[in-house]
Amino acid sequence: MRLIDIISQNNYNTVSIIGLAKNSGKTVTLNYLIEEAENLGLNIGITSTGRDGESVDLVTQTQKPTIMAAEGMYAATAKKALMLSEAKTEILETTGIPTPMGEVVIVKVRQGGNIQIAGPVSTADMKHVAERLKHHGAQVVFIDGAIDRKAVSSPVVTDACIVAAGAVLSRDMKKVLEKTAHSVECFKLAQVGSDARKIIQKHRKTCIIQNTGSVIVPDIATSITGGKKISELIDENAEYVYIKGAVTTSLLKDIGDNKFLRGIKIIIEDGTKLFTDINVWNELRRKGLTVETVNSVNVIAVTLNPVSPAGYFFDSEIFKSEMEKYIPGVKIVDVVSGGDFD
Amino acid sequence: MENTQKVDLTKIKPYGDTLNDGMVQMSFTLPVPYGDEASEAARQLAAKMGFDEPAVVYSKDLGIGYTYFIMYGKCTHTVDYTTVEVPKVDIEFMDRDQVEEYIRENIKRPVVIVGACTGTDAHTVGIDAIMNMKGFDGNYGLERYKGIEAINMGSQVPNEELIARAIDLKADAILVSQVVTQKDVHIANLTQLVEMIEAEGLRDKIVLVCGGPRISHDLAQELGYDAGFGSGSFANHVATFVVKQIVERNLI
Repeated sequence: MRLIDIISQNNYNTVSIIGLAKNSGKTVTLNYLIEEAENLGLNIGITSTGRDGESVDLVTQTQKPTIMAAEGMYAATAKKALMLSEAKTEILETTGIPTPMGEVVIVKVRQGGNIQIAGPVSTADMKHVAERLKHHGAQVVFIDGAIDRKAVSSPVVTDACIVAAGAVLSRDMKKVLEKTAHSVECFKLAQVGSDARKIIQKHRKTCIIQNTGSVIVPDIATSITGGKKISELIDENAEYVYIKGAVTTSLLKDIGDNKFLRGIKIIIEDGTKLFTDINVWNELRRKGLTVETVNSVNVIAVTLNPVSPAGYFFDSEIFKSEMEKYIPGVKIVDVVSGGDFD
Repeated sequence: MENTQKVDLTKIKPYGDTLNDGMVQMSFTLPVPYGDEASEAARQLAAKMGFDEPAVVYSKDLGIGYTYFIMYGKCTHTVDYTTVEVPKVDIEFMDRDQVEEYIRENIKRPVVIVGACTGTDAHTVGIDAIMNMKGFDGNYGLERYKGIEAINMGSQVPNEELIARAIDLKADAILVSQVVTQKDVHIANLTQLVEMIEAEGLRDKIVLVCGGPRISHDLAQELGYDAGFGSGSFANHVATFVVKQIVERNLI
C-alpha cells in the first residue's frame, strides 16, 4: 500500500514529519506527500515547526527544496514568510500566534506556486493551528519538523509520524541505520497496561506505583534533576515508576543503578520525552531496564534520503534493504530516488 | 570631481581606493613551510576563491611547517543590496527606565530571567553583556533593572541544569547564549533545550530567547525560540522583548 493510502485509509488527520538532523529529507518527504495527496484528490493543509520553502539553508548555506503549493491547498504560515511566497493566497484567519517571522495566518492557495512556511514554534500553538486547518477544510494536515526537533510527533499533538532519515547523519551507513533504529525504537515503545495507565492518569505526576496499588509521589520540582530522589524511593514493592516530562540520560543512569531495576517498569509519557544517548540506552537495557509509554508514537514510515549535502551518497537500494532489516515492520520509502512501488 | 561615480545599490562590491574596485584584504594560514612555494600556493588558492589579481602582501613563518598570509585580491562578484532582507525583532525598543515602568504598570511583580551559556561553550561574553550589572558599551545589564531578577548561571551549563533552575525559580524567561561552538554543535544544543522544555510541558509558559554572533531572528524560528538576538544587541532590547511577550502572551 502506498504511504498516502495508509494515511487516508486510517483517517490520520494530522501527520508530523520529523528528521534526525538537518537536511535529512523532511521537506522532500513533504513535497512527495503533497504530490501524492493531489493525485488522490485529498484536501491537505501544511505547516512547519521551523521554516520551510526558502531555497538556501540558514545554517549550512546549502540548497533546500522549495515547496510547491497547489491551488486549493491550505497552509498555516507566518506573515513575513507569506510575503516571500510566489503562490497567491487568500487569508482565511489570523491566529494571534506570534513567531519570529510574524503572526501565523491560515491561508487557502488560490493560485499555485512556491510557498514559504513558518508555523508556530510551540506544540501547544501547533495543535491549535492544525485544528484550524482542519476546520477550514483540510482532510489531512502535514506538519513539517525542523532540524532534529521531535516534540511535534508526540501523540498528544499528531496522529501519526513519519521519520526522515538521511545520509547526512554519518558517512558510515551503519551509524545512520543504528541512529534511525534507536529513535524509531524509542517512539514505538510499548504502551503500558490499562490498570497502571488509570493510576497514572489520575496522578499526572512523577510517581512510584507499588504492587499493593499504593502510590508514592516524590517531592521534586522536576524529574530532570530528581533521579537520585526517585531511585531512593524504589524498593522491592515498586512495580511501575512513572516519569513525567523529560527523561534524560542522567535520570536513567540514576535509576539504572537501583538494585530493584529488574523488578520495575519505567513508564514515560511518550517517546518524544526521551533524551538518551544510544550507548547508555543499550547498556541499561542489557542491565534490565524496561521502558513503556502512556501513549506510543505511531510511526507509519521511515523515508530515506541517500544523498548528503556534504557531497557523498549511499547506494539507495542497499540503504533501503538495510534499513528494512534494522527496522522491521515499518514502511521504508526512498523519497529521493525510488518512490513507493509496493 | 565630475568623475565621481554613484553607488549602484543593485550591484555593490567592496571598496578599496576607488568605488567598485572590489579590493579585499584577507588572511589565512596554510599547513606548508614558509617560502616561495607557500606564497605561490596561497596566491593560487585565492585565485580559486574567485579573486582577480590575487597577491601576497605579507607572509610569516609560524614554525612547525605552517605559514601565515595576508593577501589582497579583487572581488568579481556583486550583491543586490536592495533585495537583502534580514528579519529582526520587530518592536520598538524601550530604554531601561521605560522597561522598569512597563513592568510596574503591566506586570506588577518581579520578572525572573535565567540565563546561561550552555553546552560546551565557555564564552560568557555574550550572556555577561546582557545580564551583568555593568552591561556592555554603556548599556547596563539586566541585573541593574528594577523589577527584573536576573540570574546568570555562567558558562558550560548543561541544558538539564538550566531547565531545573528555571523551574525552581519559576522563571518567566530563559536566555541562552552560544558564542563559539565547533561544527554547528550549537544548533543541536539549542534544539535539545527547546525539546526538553517541550517535554516538561513548559514551552508555552516561558519566553525563550537565544543570542550570539551566529544567531539571527530568522534562525530562532527554525530552532523553535521566540526570538534570536545577534551581535549589537543590548540588555534593553532583550528586556523589551521579554516583558512585552509576557504581557502579549498573557503570562502575567
